[in-house]
Parts: sequence; C-alpha cells; structure tokens
Amino acid sequence: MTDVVLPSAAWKDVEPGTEALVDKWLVQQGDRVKAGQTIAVVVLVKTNFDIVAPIDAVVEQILVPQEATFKPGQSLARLKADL
Amino acid sequence: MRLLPEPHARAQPAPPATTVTAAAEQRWNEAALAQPVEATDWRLWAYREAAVVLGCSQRRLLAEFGTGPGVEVLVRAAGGGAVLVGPWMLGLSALLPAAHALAACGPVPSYRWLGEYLAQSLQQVGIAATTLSPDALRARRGERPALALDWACFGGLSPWEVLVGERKIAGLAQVRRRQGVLLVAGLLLQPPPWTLLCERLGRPRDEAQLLALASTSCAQERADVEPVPLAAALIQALANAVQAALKTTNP
Repeated sequence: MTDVVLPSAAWKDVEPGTEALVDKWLVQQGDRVKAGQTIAVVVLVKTNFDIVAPIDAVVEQILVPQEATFKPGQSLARLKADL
Repeated sequence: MRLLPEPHARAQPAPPATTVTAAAEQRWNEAALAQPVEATDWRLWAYREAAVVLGCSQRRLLAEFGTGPGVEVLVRAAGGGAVLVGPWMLGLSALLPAAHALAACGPVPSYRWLGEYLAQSLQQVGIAATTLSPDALRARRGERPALALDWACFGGLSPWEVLVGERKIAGLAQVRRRQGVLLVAGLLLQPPPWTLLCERLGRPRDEAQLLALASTSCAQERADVEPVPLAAALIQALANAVQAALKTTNP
C-alpha cells in the first residue's frame, strides 16, 4: 500500500495548527491511476495544489473526503500498486 | 514629490497593464498552466468592468449566485476569499516553472518574495506598505479575534500579504500544478464599492462597512496625488520589480 500525502515542502512556514482542505477528488475508490496523474486538488493558505499519484495503482481507499480538512503528514488516500 | 526613485526611473519602460474582463484574466491564467511552464512570464491586469471572482473553495456560491442579476460571478483556480475586481483594482499574474527558485521554495516563501516586491513598489510611490510575516500574523491573531469576514479576500489576512498600518491593500493567492506555479495578486488602487460585493453574494450590508475599515487603497493613502499618474507610477514600479525578480533569481 502507498499513502498519498501533500508533500511536506508545502507546509514549510505554515502556521502550526493550520489545516488544508480537500477541494475536490478527481478519482473514486477502485479507479486505476497512473504515476503522475492528478488525482485530487487541495487548498492550503490560499494555494491550490494538484495531488498526483506517486505510482501506477488502484485507489484502494479515500481517507479524507471532499471538503474535509487534513493535517500535515495525514494520508489522503491509500493506493494499491497496479502490478 | 517624485513618485519613483532614480534607479527605477532609469529602467526600461515596462509594458502597461492589460485591460481585460475578469473572465479573460482567468482564461489567461488557465491557459498558462495548461502546459508545462518553461519560462517565467507575467501580466499586470486592469479591469474594464466589475466582477466577483470567488476562490476555488467557494465554488458552491457560484450555484447560488452565479446566474442572478448584477455583475458577473466566476471562480478562479486559486484559493482564498471572494474578490471584487473592477477599475479600482490592479491585478498581477506571475508564472514560474515548477523548478524555479521562487516557486520551488514552497507556497509561503513564494508569497514572501511577491509580497515584498509589492510592498517595495508601493513604497516607491510614497505609500508606507509593509508585509505581514507569519510571526506578525500569529501575534495579531493572538491580540484580537479575526472578524468573520474571510469569505472576502480583503476581509482576511494570510502570510506576506501587504498592509498599510492595519489595513490590507494587496491580497495574494497561488496555484501549484505539475506544469508550473502561478502567483496572483490584487492591489487596490481606489476603494471598491464594497456594498456591491455584499449585495451580490447575499451578505449583510454592514459587512461592507467592515470591509472598508479592514482595507485601504492607493488613492486613500496618497490623496495628495492625482489617481491616474499615481497608478501609472505604481504600474511602472511594479512591472520593473517583477521583471527584475523573475530575471535575476532564475536558477
């Protein structure tokens, strides 16, 4: 399993306690995704980020739903390698 | 009083702001990020008419207010609160390759250089602008609770946004995609008709007064200078600053 997270560089200098928001999911559980594919869009300090799949995989579970917030390091989704 | 210091007065003339609709600006921004960004680029925008530009997370307001009578309502790719663009505002789009030093440093440091260049440009036209560091923002939030006005860009504060005293004069936002990074800013040349924004989005009218108190504009800060030459000097200063920043820090 591979966790999808917002890279730690995105949180640099962000005020402790700040959370990011999942603006939208572009995939659903069970979808097959390619490495580098944009699978979600999140917002942190007025910045809109593309979240990309790190590997070719199947979306096993979406852990943070659309319009929910998340903390640094928190997994947004779990991917199962597409072998 | 001279509006520009000598070094910038000697600089190459910068292109003036492009007069557009808010929709045309958003189309330029989208097109700029639709393919890999290989070189820096930037635009200054003047707006020929009023429009409400929602932050991407405010998309649901579009369904509620997007089709009603009045000024156009649209959504931008970047986050943040609603912006009332119009002839009272100067917009900026700065486009960077994802690996550019000014982009790769992360979103908050990216806001820093943009906010500081905006503040310096305002200082060059005699406006005592400062940026809001994360520490200063934290202290400010500790001193007084935030007003529930952050549905509007100029009702909230984020790191490295530009203030004059306690009042916001320029707001920042950005979009980070695999293809590149787009930083955007909105700077108030004149006081916006805040009641128009409140009415268009169904907000109480008294929030217009609060937005007026939370924000300021170049015309308010330099009431001794005619607005048109002031705006022209600011555009020149800002164009020179952004041009120099994007050029000299290219990795």
